[in-house]
Formats: sequence, C-alpha cells, structure tokens
Amino acid sequence: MRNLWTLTRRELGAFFLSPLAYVIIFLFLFFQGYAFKTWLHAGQQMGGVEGIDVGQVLGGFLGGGFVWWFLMLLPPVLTFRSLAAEKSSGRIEMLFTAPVTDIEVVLAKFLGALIFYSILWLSTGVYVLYVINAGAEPDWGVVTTGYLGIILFGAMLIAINLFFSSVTSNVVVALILSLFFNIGVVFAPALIDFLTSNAAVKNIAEYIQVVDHLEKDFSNGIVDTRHIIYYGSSILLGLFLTLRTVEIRKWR
Amino acid sequence: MTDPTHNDASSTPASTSESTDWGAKQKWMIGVNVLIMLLLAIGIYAGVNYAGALKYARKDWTRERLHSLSPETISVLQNLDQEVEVFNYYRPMKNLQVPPRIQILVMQKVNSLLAEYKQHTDLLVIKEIDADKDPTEARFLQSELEVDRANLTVFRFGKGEDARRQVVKLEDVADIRGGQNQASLRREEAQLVAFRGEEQFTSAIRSVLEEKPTKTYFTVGHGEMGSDDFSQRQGLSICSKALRQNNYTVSPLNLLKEGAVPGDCDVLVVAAPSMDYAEGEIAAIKDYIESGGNLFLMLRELAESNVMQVVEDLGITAAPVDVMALDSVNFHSFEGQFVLRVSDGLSRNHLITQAMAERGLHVIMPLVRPLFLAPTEGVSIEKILQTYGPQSWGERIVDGNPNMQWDQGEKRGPLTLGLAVQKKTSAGGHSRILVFGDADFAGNRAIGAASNRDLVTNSFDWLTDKGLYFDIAPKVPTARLFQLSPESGRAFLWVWWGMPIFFGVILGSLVWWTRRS
Repeated sequence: MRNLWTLTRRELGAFFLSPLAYVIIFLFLFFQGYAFKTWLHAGQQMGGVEGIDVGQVLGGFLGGGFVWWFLMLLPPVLTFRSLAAEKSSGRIEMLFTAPVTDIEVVLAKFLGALIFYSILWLSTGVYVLYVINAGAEPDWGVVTTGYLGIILFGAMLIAINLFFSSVTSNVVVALILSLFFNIGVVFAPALIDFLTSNAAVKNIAEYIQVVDHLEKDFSNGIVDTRHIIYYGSSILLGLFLTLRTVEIRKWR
Repeated sequence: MTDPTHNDASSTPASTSESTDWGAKQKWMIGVNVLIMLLLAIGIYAGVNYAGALKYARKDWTRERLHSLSPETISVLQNLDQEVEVFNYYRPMKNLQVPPRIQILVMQKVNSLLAEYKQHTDLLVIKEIDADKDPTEARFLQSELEVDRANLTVFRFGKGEDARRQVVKLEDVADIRGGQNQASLRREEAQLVAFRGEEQFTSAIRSVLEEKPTKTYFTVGHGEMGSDDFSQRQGLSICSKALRQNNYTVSPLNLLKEGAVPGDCDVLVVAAPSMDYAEGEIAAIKDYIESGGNLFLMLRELAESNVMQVVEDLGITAAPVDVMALDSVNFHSFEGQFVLRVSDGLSRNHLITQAMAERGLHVIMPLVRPLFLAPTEGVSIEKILQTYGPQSWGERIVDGNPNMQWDQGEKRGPLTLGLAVQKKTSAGGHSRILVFGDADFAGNRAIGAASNRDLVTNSFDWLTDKGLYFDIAPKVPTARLFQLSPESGRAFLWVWWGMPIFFGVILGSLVWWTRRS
C-alpha cells in the first residue's frame, strides 16, 4: 500500500512538473469557462426578465454538449505517455526491477491520472460557487450526481486508455487508439441503437449509451446502479487488460 | 577421456532442440493461459453487467424528488396481475402548437417516467414506436391503435375487440406557458411549467383495468351545454374527452323522449339548462336520485330554469339568475370576461377539493350564482366551494357589467358556490349530488384554466366513488431563479480568465522556473 501511494505521488508529481500539464490546465479551464458562459447566456435568454434558472445552467454545464469534448479528449492526453513513453525510453525496465509489483505500477498510473483528472473537473466547482454568490440556490443532489457521472466516466476511459498505452511503445499510436476508442464509446451506441431493430442489440446499445447516462440521469440527479456497474466493471476490465499486457513482457 | 573444456559437438544440437521445444511449449502454454484469462475476464465482465441490468435500482437525489413515483402509482403498479401494453409514440412535429424544443423535453420526461414505472413491475410492456426506423410498423400500430398523430402514449389492456385502451397526449402531460397559442399581447417563449405524466399514466393504467366503463348521461332539450359541442360558450367537448380518457362513456339523454333515466346511468349531468323541465322530467330525475343515482347539476347566470326543483327537498336553493358572487380582491378579467378566482374557499374537508386546497391551488369560475342551504334531516351536505369572507358579496348584474361596490342590502360573503350532497335512499343505499352555481368552469373555454379540469374530474370520480388520484402531484421543478447583476457579470470575467491564467500560466511558469534553477 505504501508502495502504491509512493508511486501514485510520483505519477502525480510528474504530471504537475510537466509543462504539458499546465497547457492542459490552461486550455481546460479556459474552455470550461467559455462553456459555462454559454449556458449562462442560454439561461438568460430562456428566463428573460424572470431570471436565470440555475438548474438549467448547471444541468447543461455538467451534462450538456460541451462536456463530451472534454470527456473524450482529456483521458487520452493524460494516459498516452503513461506506459508507452516509459517503454520507448526504457525506463519501464528500471521500474519493474524496483521492489514494486506490476499491479502497483499499473494502479499508480491509473490513480495518478484519475486524481489529476478529478482535480481538473472539481476546480470547475468555482462556477457553482459563482452562481451561489450571484444569489442562486443550486440543487446539491444534481451537482453531486453530475460530478459523480463525470468522474466515473472519466475513470473508465482512463483505465481503458491506459491499456492502449500499454500495448505500444509509440505514444502517437497510443494517443490515436485512445481517441478512436473514446469517440466510439460516445457515439457508437447511439448509432447502433438507431440502425438496428434487433431488440437484444438495441438493449445492449441502450445499456452502454454513455451520453444518455450523463444527460438523462447523472446531470438530472439520478443515480442508476446499472451505470455504476457498467463503469466500475469497465474500469476493472481496463486495468486487468493493462496488467496482463505488462506481464506479457516478462514472459517473452 | 573427454576434455571438459571441449564442447560435446553431438550434445549441442540435442540440447538446443530440447530448449527450443520447451520454449515453444512454454509460449504455447502462456498463449493458452492468456487466452483463457482474457475470455474469463470478458465473461465475468459480461455476466456482471447482465446481472446488473436485470436487477437494478435508481435513486433520485433531487431536492424535490422530481423523478420519484408517488406511493399511489407504486401501489397500482405492484398490484398489476395482468399485462398492460404501453405504446409510446413521440416524434417532434412541426404542425403542433408546441415548439419542437418542448416536444423533445416532454418526450425525454415521458421516457424517463416510463423507465421508472418499469422498475416496479414486469407486467408493463413498453413498446417504442419509431416512425423513422420502421415506418411500416409505425403505420400498422397507428391503424391498430386508432391514432392519427404522434406525441402520445397509448395504454392497452386485453386483445382484439375486447381490448380497452387509453390515449394520453403530450398536451395532457405537459402544462405549457407561453408560445404561439397564448392569448397575450407580447409573444412569450414557450415554457414547460409542470409535467403531469405520472398523474395521467397512473390514471390511464387504472382506467384500462376497469372491467366496465362508467356511464354518464348529459340531459338535452332545455338549452343545456352540449357534451359533444365544440363551441367555446356552449361546449363541454373537452370535458367529455377528459371523461372518455378516464374510461367513462358520455351519452346525451332526452328525458322527455325516454321518460326515465336509464338504469345503467352512473352519473346524470344537467349542465346549465335555460328552459324549464316538464313535470315528468323533474319526477324522473327525482326517482333516479331516490333509487341511488348520482346527479351533477350545474347552473349558469341568466339561465332561467325550474331544474332546482330536483334538489329543493334537500334544502338547496340558488340565488336569482341575475345575482352573482363578486369579490373585491379575486374578481378579474380573463380573456375579456370577468371571472372569480376561488382559492381559500376550497374545502379542506372534502375529497374533491382537499388535495387542491392543501396545495394552495385555485379554480376560476365565470359569473357564479350563489347557493343557499337549509338544514335537512338525513342528508349530509358539504360546502366545497365558497367565496372568501366579507370581501365578497352577492351583486345583481345589470347589462353584464358588475358594480364592484358592495351596497346596502346586498348579501355579504362567504357565499356558497358548490355543494356536495350525500343522501341515504329508502332502499338503504345512497346517492350523491353535486350542485355548482356555475357551469362555464367545466366548459371548453375555461376547463383548461387553473385547476378547473381537476375539479371536474375529481367531481366525477367522487360521484362514482372512484379512488381520487389527484394526490399524484404534477412535477413542478422549483425554478431556482437568480439575476445576474452587472457586478456579477464583471466577476464572471475575473473567474473565467483568472482561473486559467493563475493555474495555467503563473503556476506553470513557477514550476518551470523552479525546475530550471
């Protein structure tokens, strides 16, 4: 456990010491501010003289169209170098000769990226504080479930993107694989659902339709155990596959 | 003697071959191992998700529990013992008075609500009709369900000829304010102010499960408002439609011709007659009440008729036809007509109005004739609708213009506007009678206003002793509105630009500088 914590801190430290992290932070916060401004403006248009509906603004901010771009792009950027760069530079050999287990290495990579991702998202809580300061009373249930959905979905993508980073030593390939996968996860279920009339396939497509999970449930204050199980099991599967891929190196 | 330093040439190839064999075998074993583990992992993954999809729970974290079903609905669903089919057919349309944005919003709410219903029973079979994906099936279902438009949900119980169905349209589940059809001087953005899906859907399920429809008869021939009249002033067609959707049948009744109220009549409706009834007709109605029948009697301003004779024995009389209840605070102009807003005068002690009164809802009534009551033995009478206190009085209307001043001699409020009567019959049963000093509140023009529709449907439900489902409140999200002051606007710019600049640029430069040095 101590090893895991040490490695996680090392990973997190590496993030914060990298200039790339600050570029990500700058762009993320800038575009999040822009997204919030857009929802605020939409709320103003809808509410007219009566005022802005804070539920509409925060619901859109945590589950509306902009969110998907951040959700699809952020995890690959945080994971593409994790194992691929270590492999290409040879640092991975040093890491695996250290007195730590493979699972600790993989978990530390995952947790490091997830903590950084969560810090980024939770920093947007400043906009929730902003509307409170402006006199609004947000529904904390909706705010909590909104962030819960975003973090769960991000954790799933980070785990699977980490796997893509582990299968190659080329960071560009890892990045492209992750991006394609994430775009597929977001858009493919809706496409399949639209194209098929087969009930079983339709049910599966509906089950994995992450856009609906976030837009209809999490950002509306609903926690559905099916979504938790889907994200939780996908995180475990992603980590398991990453671990196996890392272990294969030893068998060669 | 063998030189130990000399490699045995003959042994080398054999050992290499052995090593190669072992290596290949090991690789093969590893490959199989990896494959098994992979398949196992995917199998567990699929199994866990399958089990999770079969048995799941949804928790509503919103403050007002906007997505939670009421105990009444849960009870109806859990008591289902036969399959009820639900055909959900929503598709944004251009020709509807509701903007597509609202249509989509309502569609999402309907889908979400049906998903909640499904959680409580497997006997609700929900079928989505998707005209884009399968137009043939959509057309077939449209013809089978006898619907000619989209944006509705059909509940069906049973098969073939005996199937009972109930249609719930978008307009029934959504209270929309503003939009193109709003009679307003300024064009308002259409807004969904309340979602009545649960109330309507539960009522629809309950209705299709009822074995026989409840029969209502509307008297004709005395200038009454018509059950199938579509006009604004004389029509009750919207009321009839609401009744039919609740598994009531609506039929006209010519008492003069029939001679008696039909034996299968569950409610006899007398809506604003303006001519006298023949003695035989009065007697027929009295006989019907005496035999345990239920009467819904509505009067109207300036409509002279002897119909009040049927309730004279109960001690109920009405003010002259030109005397109306006025209220200095709650008397307003609505669409060019004066209406009385009744809120505080809704009884909290009667099933019809209790839930409405507790929620602070109101009904609006155009000119209402006050009712008077003399205590009568063996009869239980409840004032369910009254004007509020001394600010109201009875005023004689001359030329349609009310004098908004109380004058000496005019009766002060509270004035009775609606009475609910329960009377024991000689056969040991009981009959129920409702008398209102107004009929226009149930008419096409005003039934959609305020909570009039609920007053009408609750009245029929009480008369026929059906469970009152009005306890299922519409979902009205509390709009947490806030205003953005110019200061707040400026503060936003600081937050928007300050955050990335501080965390991205300043902190980043600091880290870079520290590492460099």
